[in-house]
Amino acid sequence: MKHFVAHALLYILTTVLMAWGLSWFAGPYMDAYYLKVTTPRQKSLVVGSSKAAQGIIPEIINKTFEEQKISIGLYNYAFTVKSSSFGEPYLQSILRKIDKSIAGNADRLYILAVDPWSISTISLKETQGKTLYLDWNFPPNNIRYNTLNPNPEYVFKNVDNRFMMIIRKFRPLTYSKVRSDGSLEVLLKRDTTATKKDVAGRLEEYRQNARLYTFSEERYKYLGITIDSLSTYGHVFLVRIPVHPDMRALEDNFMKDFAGKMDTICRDHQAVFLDYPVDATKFVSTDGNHLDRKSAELFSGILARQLVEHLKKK
Amino acid sequence: MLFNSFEFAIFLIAVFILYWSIFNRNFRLQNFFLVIVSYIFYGWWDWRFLGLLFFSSCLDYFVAIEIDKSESRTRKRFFLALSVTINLIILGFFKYFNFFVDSFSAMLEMAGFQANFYTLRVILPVGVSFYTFQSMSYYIDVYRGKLKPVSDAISFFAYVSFFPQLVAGPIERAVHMLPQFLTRRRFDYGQAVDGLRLVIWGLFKKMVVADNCAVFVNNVFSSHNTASGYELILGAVFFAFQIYGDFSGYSDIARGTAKLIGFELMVNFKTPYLSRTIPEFWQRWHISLSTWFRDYVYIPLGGSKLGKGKTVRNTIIVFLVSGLWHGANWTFVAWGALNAAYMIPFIFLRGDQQTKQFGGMLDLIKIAFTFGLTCFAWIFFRSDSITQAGEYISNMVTGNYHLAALTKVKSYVLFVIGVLMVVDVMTWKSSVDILIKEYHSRTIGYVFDFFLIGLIILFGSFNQQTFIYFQF
Repeated sequence: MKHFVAHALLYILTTVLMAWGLSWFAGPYMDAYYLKVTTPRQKSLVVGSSKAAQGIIPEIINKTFEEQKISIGLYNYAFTVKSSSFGEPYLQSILRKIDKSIAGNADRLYILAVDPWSISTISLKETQGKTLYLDWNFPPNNIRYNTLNPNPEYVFKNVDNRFMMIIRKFRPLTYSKVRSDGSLEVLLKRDTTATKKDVAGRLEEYRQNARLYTFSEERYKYLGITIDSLSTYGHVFLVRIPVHPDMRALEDNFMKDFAGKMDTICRDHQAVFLDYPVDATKFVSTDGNHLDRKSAELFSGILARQLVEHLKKK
Repeated sequence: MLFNSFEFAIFLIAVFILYWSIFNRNFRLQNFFLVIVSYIFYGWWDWRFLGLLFFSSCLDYFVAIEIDKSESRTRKRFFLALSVTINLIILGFFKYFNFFVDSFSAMLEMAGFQANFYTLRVILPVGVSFYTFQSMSYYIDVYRGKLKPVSDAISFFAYVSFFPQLVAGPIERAVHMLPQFLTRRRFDYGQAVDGLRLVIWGLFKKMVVADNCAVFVNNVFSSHNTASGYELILGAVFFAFQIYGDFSGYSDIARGTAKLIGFELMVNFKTPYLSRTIPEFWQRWHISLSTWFRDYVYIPLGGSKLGKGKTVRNTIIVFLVSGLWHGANWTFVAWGALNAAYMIPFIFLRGDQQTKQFGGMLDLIKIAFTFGLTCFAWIFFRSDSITQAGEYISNMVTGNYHLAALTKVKSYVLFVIGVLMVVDVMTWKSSVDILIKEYHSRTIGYVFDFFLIGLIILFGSFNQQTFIYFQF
């Protein structure tokens, strides 16, 4: 028996060491999410879908605030529409990412990127009075620990081919990069023709989505709950990021009363809604939905100045 | 709790330590402990059905005693019929109530009548098909005089609720299992090492092969109307490996777990995809179920002793019932019917078709052909409806065949399927634990085990996909 216990312990120990060792090969070069779940808890956050992941650059906003002698420590914790639409799973993940040890909420803020898709659903199911979220199956919602570095839980739950992860350490992805502030930069350089094709493709994809998605009372309710939860830690701003004019028209047609819903929820939950107009001369979209890096920098600067003004009034 | 979950790992370690250290004084204490932990294991799934498991065990325990005590054949038959009826009613209600109501309703609507039957939201108790069949075989064998009923109730309850095989088999026979419960199990190092090895092998099959195949299979079956011909073919092939990895993986983990606590369960799969004929396939696939149907349905109907016509009839009945056993859907019936159709030609062929030795190129062709037939039948098994299966097959025939579609197949999935098949070829006549023992080398054992652990760490799915056969 003792011999077998020693045998089993050897196996368990070796397995744990192999698993932990493998995790050390993980890094931000792997995918668009890993870095975000390896950084410590944060003072302020940007939350939302990939529009926010690419379109809001905390480094620029932090710098603008620092010029006003305010340190907000903003970090981009936005993911994709599939995993980070408003709901219980994403809210729980957000709350695990906030540094609750910091006292006071004067110089903390939470930017919630909103659009019609973030309060709509294709996948929520109601059964026996309970809402079933498929969101639980996707990162960051399917991991409990979102501040570990390395993060074995993320590696084993979300990386299918961990052998390729080892390869990536020596041959990183070259088409995107997650910056230290959590924002995602797409590195692919596309010419005008290719961009037009991407925009057309993305618009078609969202036309299909408009047929399949419906407004979700549950997600809308959770937007309110998210605002209330974050308000205890800092100031909450709802931001509608500019997109391609045709995409904006599609979204407005999909949910005609979206602006009204945002005004209502901000009034009921004491938040501020900042709806940025579409301006194709100022902001360039890579694919109709996401701002390119230069436009994201420009937009982040504009947003930062508005946020400073709002905070000064408070 | 799933076998491939952290909770089960903790559970198994705790059971192993307590079983061999504290509850090891005699077999009664061991069995008492096994009943407790088995009920905890089953209750973890859904505590509401513990009562059903307990009731089923009580019924079969007392019925077997009454059958044995009865002097008249009529009285024996009465108790047999009583228990069979009650068990089948329980199984039928939980598994087939809504299916039959919906099917009857659809039939009436086809005939022009509007039907609005009340459909209950019946939850299927996990493992009910397995433990019902296992305990049925017990009192049927008592009736047939093959064994005496067990007087020790705790031992019987431990036999019915034995957690390694409670929820998805193998469906054990009392003749094989009960004697093991009536003797004190003593710790054996070799048996425990074999058990651990089988658990690792089972986890590899489930987490690496089955769960990775499932990703491709789910994509293809959910988009079968737009997938290319190659994708559809590969979808069927990958499903064959998914269900094999899933189910045989579970069986191996069950056998391995049982070995860790001193029990020997039957081998449930013997490299079925290396079968040269369909009859051979059914001697190698889900052996516990196919032998159960052979002994308790096929042979009582007359088997092959009443002429070719009746043999064909009996074969069809067994496969249709077997199909229906798998689930309340016409697709399973269709799958059973197709397998019956595959078997029928062999009823008319003369001679023993089961050659033991492998015969070169001709056998390779037979293996490929048999595998092809099996994959085709799996399309029905996997589809949600007959309509979907029909569309899937039709698209396979008429669909576009772009080689570019093959880029959707991940190379590491092909690699792990390759590993599975290489080991299967090496264990054609035995199993993994026996194969490693034949080398008489601890080093080879370590290399094999750590190689599998490495593959699980590199490619295993840790998202806890349930085992397919849990739904049956």
